[in-house]
Amino acid sequence: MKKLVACLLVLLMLTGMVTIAGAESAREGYVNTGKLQYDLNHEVNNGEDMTLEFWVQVELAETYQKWCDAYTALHPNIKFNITQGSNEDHFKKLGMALPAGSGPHLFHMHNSFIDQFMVNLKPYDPAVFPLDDLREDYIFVDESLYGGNMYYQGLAVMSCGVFYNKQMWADAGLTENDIPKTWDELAEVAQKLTQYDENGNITVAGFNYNEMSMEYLITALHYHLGVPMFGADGRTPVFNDGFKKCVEWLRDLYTEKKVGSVELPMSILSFSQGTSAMTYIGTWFGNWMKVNAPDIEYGFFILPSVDGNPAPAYDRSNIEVSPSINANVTDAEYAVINDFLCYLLSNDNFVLDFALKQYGTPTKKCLIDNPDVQADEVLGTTARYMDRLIYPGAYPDVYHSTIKKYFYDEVMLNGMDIQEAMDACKEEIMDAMETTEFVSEENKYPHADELVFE
Amino acid sequence: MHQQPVVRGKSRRLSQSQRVMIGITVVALIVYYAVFFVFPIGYAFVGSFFNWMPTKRVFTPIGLENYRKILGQSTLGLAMRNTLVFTAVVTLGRTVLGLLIAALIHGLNHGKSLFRTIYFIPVVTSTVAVSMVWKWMYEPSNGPLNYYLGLFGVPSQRFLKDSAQALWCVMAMTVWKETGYAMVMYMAGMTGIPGTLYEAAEIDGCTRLKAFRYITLPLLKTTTEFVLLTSFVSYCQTFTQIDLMTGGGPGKASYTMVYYLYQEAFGNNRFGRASAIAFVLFAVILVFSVLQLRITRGKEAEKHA
Repeated sequence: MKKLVACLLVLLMLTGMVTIAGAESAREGYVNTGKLQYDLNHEVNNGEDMTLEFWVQVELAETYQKWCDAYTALHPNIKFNITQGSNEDHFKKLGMALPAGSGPHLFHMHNSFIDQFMVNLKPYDPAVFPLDDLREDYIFVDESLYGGNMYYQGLAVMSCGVFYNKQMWADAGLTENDIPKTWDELAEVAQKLTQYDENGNITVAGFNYNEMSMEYLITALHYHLGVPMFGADGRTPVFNDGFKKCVEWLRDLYTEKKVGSVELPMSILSFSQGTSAMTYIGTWFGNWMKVNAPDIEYGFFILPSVDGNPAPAYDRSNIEVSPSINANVTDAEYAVINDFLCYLLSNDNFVLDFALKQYGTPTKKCLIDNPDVQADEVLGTTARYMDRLIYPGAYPDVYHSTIKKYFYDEVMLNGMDIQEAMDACKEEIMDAMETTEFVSEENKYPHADELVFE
Repeated sequence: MHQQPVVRGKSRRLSQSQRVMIGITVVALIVYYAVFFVFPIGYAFVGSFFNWMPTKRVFTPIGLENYRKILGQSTLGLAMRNTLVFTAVVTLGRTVLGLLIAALIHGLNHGKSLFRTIYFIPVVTSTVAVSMVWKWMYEPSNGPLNYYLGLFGVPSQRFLKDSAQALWCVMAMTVWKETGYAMVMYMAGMTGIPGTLYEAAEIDGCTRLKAFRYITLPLLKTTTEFVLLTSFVSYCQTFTQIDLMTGGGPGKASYTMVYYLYQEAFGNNRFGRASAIAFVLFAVILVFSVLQLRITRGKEAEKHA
C-alpha cells in the first residue's frame, strides 16, 4: 500500500513538473515588444475546462497547433480541437456551417470572404484590442476594419513577383546585373532563357504564365500603366486600352517572341519541374518551392516597370489575416477566444512564425526589419517595395477567376478577340459584383494621384 | 372443411402488433422522404424565386428574376447543349460497348470471371482518382497520349486545353470508366436467355450474327431500357469529372448544367439562381424521361395490337 501511495505521489510530482516545464517553455516562446498587452499569469474562464473547435487550412495546421499548445500550457483548462482542411474545402464547409448556426468557435479566415461571412462573425472585443494600440503595433489595421469593427487583423503582406531558376540563369550567361528593369528587357531575358528542340518546340520556357499566373500578371502590368482594377466608383472593373495593351504584350510573348507556350504545364508545376526558367506568381510560391522542389535554387524580383522609370505601382498587395470568431459563441467562449487571440497578436514570435509560414512580410512593425525577413530574397524584396504596392481591399475572388477564364482560356487557348473578351469579362464581373458590397480601396493608396480613375 | 374459411379470415386480419409495425414503417418512410427529399426539393423550388445567399443570410423574393437572368444568358444554352451531347454520347457509347463486350465474354468457354472483373474494375474505382490519371494522360507537353500518337506521326494535340476537344476527352474517359456497368447488366441478362433458343436457331441454320440480332437483342430489351434510362438520368447530372479535369473550361467550353449550377451556388454565392438552373434541368430530364417511356409503351402497345 505504501509503495502504491509512493508511486502515485511520484507520478503526481512528475505530472506537475511537466506542466510547469510546459508553462515555462510557453512563457519563453512569448515575446512582446509592442503596445498591445497580454498578461501571462492571469486565469481564464475561472479555471473551468473549455474546449474550443478551431478550423484551419492544412498549411497552417502545424503553426496553429504549436501556438494552441503553448496557450494550453499557460492555461491547462483550455483545450483546442483543431480540424484541418484544404483551402477550398475549408471555406466551402464554413460557408455551409456558419449560416446554419454550427461550425467552429474560431477559424482561419481569408479577407476575400469577409463580405460573405460578416453576418456570421463576432468582432474582436475592442476592450481587449484597443485600436490605438494596434495601430501603434501593426500596419493594415484600418484596412482590417468593417464598419469600425475588427473581424481579423492582417498579419502578413503578400504580393507577387518573378521567380527565376538561378542555375538556368547562370547557364544562359546571365548575372545579377541582368535583372530586367523594363518590360522589353524582361522579354529579352526570357528569350535568352528559352530552349528549343530540333523541331523548334519549346523544351524550357523562358517565361511561363500558364493557368494560374496570367490573371494576376495583367493586374500588375496595368498598374504599371496607371490603370487601377476598379473605376472611380470603386466597383466597376476597368477594361480600357491600357488593359488591352497588357494582354497584347503577354500574348505576344508567346506568339511572337516564343518564350512560352500554352501547351506547357501550369506555371508553378512547370517551374518546379525545370521546364520553365521564369514564372510570375504570388510570394507564397517561395515556401511552396522549398517544400515541393527543394533542389531548385530560385531568385526573385519585382516585375519591372514599362520603361525603367518608377511605376505608379509595381503590383497588388494582399494580407493574410488572423482567425475570425463565430457569431454563435457564448459569452464565456467569446472571452476565452479574445484572450487567446490577444495572446497571439501580442506575441512577436507567433506573428513571425505565421508570416514565414504564409511567406509574406509581417505586418507587425517591429518585425518588418527582422533579419530573417530582410535576409530572405522574396520577403526582403517585397518589404523594400511595400510603399509601391497597392492594396485594393478584400475584393471577391470572382474578379481574377473571371479574368483568367476570359484572357487565358478564351484569348490564349481559344483565340478570342481581346476586345470581345474584355466586354464579356466586364459584363460577367459586374453581374457577380451584385452579390457583394465591396468597394475598392485603391483610391486610398498613398500614390493614388498617379493612377487614372475613370 | 370448416377450418379453411377460418384460416382465410385469420390471414386477412392483421394482429395489433403487425398493424403497429406497418404503421411505424410507413410513417418512418414518409417522414424520411419528407425530410430528405420533399422538403429540400420544395425549399429549393421556393428558393429559385428568391435572391438567396445563405452565407449572407439573404432571402428576399424576386419573382421570376432568377429564371429571367439564366434564360437570358448564353451560358445556359451552352451548358444544356453540352449536357445533352455528353449524355447522348456517353449513354450510347456505354450501352453499345457494354453489349458488345458482354456478348464477347459470354461466348467464352473459359475466363469469363476474369474478363468480367477486368472490365468492371474501372466502375468501382473512384471517379476522382480516374479523372486525375486521365488528366495527366491528356497533358499536351508531357502526357503519354501525345507521346504515343507522335509515334504514329499524329501531331501534338491539346486535348483538355482545346475547347473543341475538351468535352470529348472527358466523354472518352467516362465511357471507358462506365462501360463495365452496362457489361455486367447485359451479362446477367444473357445468362437468363434459355440455351434451347440458340440450339433451335442453329438447327434452322441461323448464323451467330442472326441469332444475336433476332434472339439476344430482343430478349435483352428490358436490360437495354434499364441501362438507357439510368444512364440518361445519371449523365444529365455529370459533375465530378468536369470539375476535376477541365473546371468547365477552357473558358466555358465544357460547362454542363450541374457544373454551371455549382458555380452559381458555391462560386458566386447565388443559391436562388442555382436553384432555378436545377429546376430547368429537372424539367428537361422529366420531358426526356416521359418521352422515353411513351416511346417504349407505344411500341409495346403496337406489338400487342
